[in-house]
Amino acid sequence: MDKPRDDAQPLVSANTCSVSCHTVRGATVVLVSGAVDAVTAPQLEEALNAALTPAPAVLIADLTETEFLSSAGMSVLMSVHDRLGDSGRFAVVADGPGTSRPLKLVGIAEVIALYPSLDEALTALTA
Amino acid sequence: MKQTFALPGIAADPEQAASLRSEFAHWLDDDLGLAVEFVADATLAVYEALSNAVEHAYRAGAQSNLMDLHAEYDPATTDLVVTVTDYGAWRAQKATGRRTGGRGLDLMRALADRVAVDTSNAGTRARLSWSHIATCQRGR
Repeated sequence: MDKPRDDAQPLVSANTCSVSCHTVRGATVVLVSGAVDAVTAPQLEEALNAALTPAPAVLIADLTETEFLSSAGMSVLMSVHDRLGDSGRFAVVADGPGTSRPLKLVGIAEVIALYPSLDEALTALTA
Repeated sequence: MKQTFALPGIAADPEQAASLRSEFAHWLDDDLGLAVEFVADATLAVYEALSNAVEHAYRAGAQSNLMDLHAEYDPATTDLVVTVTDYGAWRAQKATGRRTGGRGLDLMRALADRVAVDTSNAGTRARLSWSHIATCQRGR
């Protein structure tokens, strides 16, 4: 077996993820950019959990600038959906081969409302 | 001529899994020139297999904390076969207890044409394959 190569040849870093929280037209919007994988999913979880207290009427995870979403990120989204329950409305904004496509393929888009743009989500969810 | 991408003996930790994912995506995109949508599908499926290998490696009884990624693309048939191998001891009860592990396998099955996971005391090998990838490019 070959030797580990992590010291000899550092692999390029793939883990850039930034998360910020905004209020837009009365909705709490968590904007996520970069890659949401097993390493960075806790960042998303922390931001969404912070946004859940107190429970917002409308909470939107905006993945417009997210390039990659793994099962770890999807589990965070499902957990937030479960925690918010009936006390508010939760939606995901995504429209890309690395985000909305896998969300549809595994059926999460049937459980959590999915919109292709933030505008469309806000129009649907805010009066 | 078949194109091969092989990175054996990589430390099975979450950071290396993310880096491997990035290198694999570059290979599909820059070297093979495959469709954007296919690159996204294959990259996510392979990342989920790598994440499973990382989970196996962290379990008690792992014989090695290394994992291997091997991929072969045949331009003549446009078939892609990817194997992810780890050397962690298989513990079925723990494996099924993981919520993310189940979703990862669901994702692999949804994204790849065929998925086979072989486990033994020596480790686990996940084989993901796709056929006739050129048809994916028509939609571009």
